[in-house]
Amino acid sequence: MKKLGIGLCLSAMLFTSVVWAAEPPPKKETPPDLYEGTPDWYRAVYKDNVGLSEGAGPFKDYYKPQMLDMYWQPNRHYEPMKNLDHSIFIEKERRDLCVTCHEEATPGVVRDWRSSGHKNPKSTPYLSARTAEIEKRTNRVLNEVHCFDCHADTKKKQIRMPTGEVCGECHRPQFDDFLREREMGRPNHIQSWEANTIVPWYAEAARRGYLYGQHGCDLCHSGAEKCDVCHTRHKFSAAEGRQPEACITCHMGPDHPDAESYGESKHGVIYHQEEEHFDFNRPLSEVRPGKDYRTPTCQFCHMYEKHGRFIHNPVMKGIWRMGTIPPKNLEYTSSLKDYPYGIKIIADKIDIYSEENVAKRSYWLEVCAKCHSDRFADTYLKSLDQFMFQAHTLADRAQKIVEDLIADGYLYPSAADRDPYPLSDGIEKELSPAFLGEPIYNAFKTLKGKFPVVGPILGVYGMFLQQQDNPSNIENYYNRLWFWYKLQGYKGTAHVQQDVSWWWGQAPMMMEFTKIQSEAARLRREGRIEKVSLTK
Amino acid sequence: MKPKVLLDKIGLWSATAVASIAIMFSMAPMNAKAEFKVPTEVTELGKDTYKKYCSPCHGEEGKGDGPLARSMLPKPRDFSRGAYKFRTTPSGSLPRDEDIYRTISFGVPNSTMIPWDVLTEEQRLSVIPVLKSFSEAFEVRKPDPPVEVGLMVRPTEKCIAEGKKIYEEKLECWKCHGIEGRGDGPSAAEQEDDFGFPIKPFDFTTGKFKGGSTPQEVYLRFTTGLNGTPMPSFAKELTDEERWCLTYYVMSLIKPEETKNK
Amino acid sequence: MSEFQVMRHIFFLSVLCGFLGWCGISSKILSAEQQYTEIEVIDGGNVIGNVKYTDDLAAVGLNLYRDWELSDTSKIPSEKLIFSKINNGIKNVTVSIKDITEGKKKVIPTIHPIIDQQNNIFIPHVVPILTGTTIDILHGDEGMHNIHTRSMKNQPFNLGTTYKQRISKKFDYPEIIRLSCDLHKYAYAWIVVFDNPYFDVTDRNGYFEICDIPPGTYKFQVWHEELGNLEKEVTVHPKETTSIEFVYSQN
Repeated sequence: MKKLGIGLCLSAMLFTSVVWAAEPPPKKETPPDLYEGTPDWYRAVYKDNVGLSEGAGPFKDYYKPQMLDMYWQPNRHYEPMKNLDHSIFIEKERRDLCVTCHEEATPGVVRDWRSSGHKNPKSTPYLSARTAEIEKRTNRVLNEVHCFDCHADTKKKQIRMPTGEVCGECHRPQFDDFLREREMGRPNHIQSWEANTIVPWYAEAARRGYLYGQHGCDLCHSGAEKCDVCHTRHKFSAAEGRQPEACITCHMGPDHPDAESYGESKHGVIYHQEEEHFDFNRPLSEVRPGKDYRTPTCQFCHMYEKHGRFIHNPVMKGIWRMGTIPPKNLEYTSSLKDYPYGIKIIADKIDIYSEENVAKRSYWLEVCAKCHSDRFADTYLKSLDQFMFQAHTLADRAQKIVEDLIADGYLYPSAADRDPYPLSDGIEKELSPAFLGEPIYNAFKTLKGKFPVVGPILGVYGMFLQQQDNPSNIENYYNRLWFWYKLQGYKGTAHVQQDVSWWWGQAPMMMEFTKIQSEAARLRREGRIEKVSLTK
Repeated sequence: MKPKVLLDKIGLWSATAVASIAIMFSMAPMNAKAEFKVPTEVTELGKDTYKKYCSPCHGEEGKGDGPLARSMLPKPRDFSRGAYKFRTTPSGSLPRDEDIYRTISFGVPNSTMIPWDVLTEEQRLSVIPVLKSFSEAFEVRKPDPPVEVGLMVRPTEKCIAEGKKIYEEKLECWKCHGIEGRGDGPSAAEQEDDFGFPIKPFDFTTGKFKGGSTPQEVYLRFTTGLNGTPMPSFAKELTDEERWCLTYYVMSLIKPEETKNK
Repeated sequence: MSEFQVMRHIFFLSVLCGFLGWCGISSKILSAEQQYTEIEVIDGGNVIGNVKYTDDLAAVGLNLYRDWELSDTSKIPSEKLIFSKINNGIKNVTVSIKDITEGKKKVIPTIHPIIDQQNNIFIPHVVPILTGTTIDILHGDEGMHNIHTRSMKNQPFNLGTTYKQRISKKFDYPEIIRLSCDLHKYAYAWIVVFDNPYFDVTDRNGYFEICDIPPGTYKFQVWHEELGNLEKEVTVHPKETTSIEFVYSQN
């Protein structure tokens, strides 16, 4: 039991990367397929429309989606409206009627569309040139991209909610770029709904009556593989997607305070002061730093790929990623040294000095060097690495305290006396040893989830579902240390926001650490007293 | 016959009927009558069509309370009063079948009532008795004969100037419709229809006249009034010629360059 | 002014409520329609009476508008509820016999009753008429008005009018019809159409009088736009005058 406990405490998975072979960019002739080369269960996350009859992901049978999910994840859950059957308009291809009615029914949408490039794809020389490319590629004449082109499912004769694949029919290079996020593994945008529904606590919470409590999860994780997350409906403006505001509705809060750290940093403050002088109509690759942008935006740094080229996704250059994966370059005292515990589908620890990451760092310096000296930028980023090493070391020490406590049998209430790990029955039934790794799978099989799980990444369940005595205080403290405060310190440092770095990062991390120490001491003391009184 | 062809005929017919009852009385209506087969009773086809395509907004009972109605403004027509806006009959009168058919087929611009020419001619006709069945007014009253539309006057400068005078001084149309015809006059905000819902005076600058954009149709709007709304009939107040002048004046308020992208 | 004007702010039932109420009333009256036979009434009795309001209306005495500069429209007192300071009698309540099947001859007035629009309001506020009566609606102002009626059986109309215009309309079905001007939202009047000649509208002290009723027991009904309906059974004796009282209470 002890041994297993320790083995598992460590775990990490669903949050991190599920890696499958990166595919070569699809051929131009075929329509894009977001799901090509994905495992079978993955289709149940995004594809295989089931309406609202069942959930998504490997645990689809354990919960029924809420009705909103049809908008969050239309490929999987959308059902056309029943009140007014729109199929007659699609059958007779009455394009004119969409606007006639919706101009009054939903005027905002129509006005948005009217002011978009879709309504007038040749209104400026720049747009015309881009439209010409699309016309050449798709072999059709585009004088107007109409409601019908995206919303009418002419095969099923019904209304559909467009997803990235529909956009990709015309915007192929952007879509192909975006698809490449998968090469990097999670966390990324394209697999965000997967990250939402693959985790066992999502279905477990739904089963326990907290489905709607997860509204906050759904709002960000819903269909970030759709394009309208950044280029909002129905304007789909490229300029809008280039503004930092496009990111901040999701990228904020304790686990990734990007809005706060960038927004209050000198970069962000100057952006806010001089926003009106920023020229967002310029494609990123044509932006002249200091002229079009006085400070960088999220997109300008994160979507820079290398050698002056930009890529249409912001994850390619990430080294530390979300900040949850431990680096290879440290000596660990806790079971973090065994990360990822034989779970085959989790990416290994990050080697900050690998050839690939050293190259990535040089691409970062290419961005920084638009304004900063190479030495300054290099020094700054190296200090970020050192911050992260320190933070991971602190987390390692904290994890060691918790693990030792568990190993010595002082966890109270003990794992046997409390609710099991979320959805343990489902994990055992739906996931295979190949998926989880033999030892972890067997642990679920034999102990039915009655064992403690702490630390990156499976231990994060305590942030999302609190059950009967599970997790306990000390585990909660540790979760906050490594998941909240470490990540806040990381973003505060990376985005040069001193307050976030210290007061919301390093300082509470240390405070949490001493809390863990004293909680462990208390539990040990009580445990010893109990033993003595029992032996009397 | 294709629906569109029929539509043309109906359109032609209604135009001719209003414009020149005196001249073409014998010919056109007779021709069109032959095409018209409005069922006298509520048919199954009518019920089905109504249920599928009308009731989502107008409600199963025709009370304008369908499931889609709650977020709509203006609200869908409540048929229980027998108050129809767009008619060829005098103020307050019930509409003739042809009027209902026209509204169904051409729709009401500036509203979610689309031209339902996606439906077959037969389907559209079959709905008419269903609509009438919702109001007891049709049991008690009969529609009056259509109003007479005199010969058109030429839209000369002088005529338009006279229309402006009527608009601004005699009838004070501007009180609701605004001096520039934008529907923003001083009394505009407080207007309510017979069902207690706020109603906006028409904005002439859009040029999308709800009852049709030909001069004859515009002429008919203030000759017959819009039943169920504050818009009265001016049949008593204006001579035939004055009405033509007012017609041309309000049509001169259209600002196509502003409305192109509206 | 002799009557007490109850300002609209005291009775804040919305226009819409009143309007909905009217819908209900109108359909009720429609359904109660019945045959009426004209006979010669020799020994008919009379009913006189009073319609009152009971509640303590001390608030009425307050002039909330004193010392305020008001726009012209705000100075026009609402006619929604007018009652006498002397005896709490309510003006503009129609009184009718609901279930009378035979009685005096229906006399349709040859001189048309008049509703005049003066200073943007309709005078009088409530006009009870017999079916078949024609009403003349006059325009006494310089500005523009429209005359907008809302009815189901009687054909509604909505006509724009200017100075000196006279509109004659005949009403053939019993119904309570609201008449309004959309240009002056506060201006409205009621035409109450009855299908028998036994009806009256109360004066400023709430008094009414109905004469030549064949002896018997009848249901009397009163209607007020704001206060609604009341009913009472009254026995009419030959050649006698019966005195009755209708009392509206706030509850």
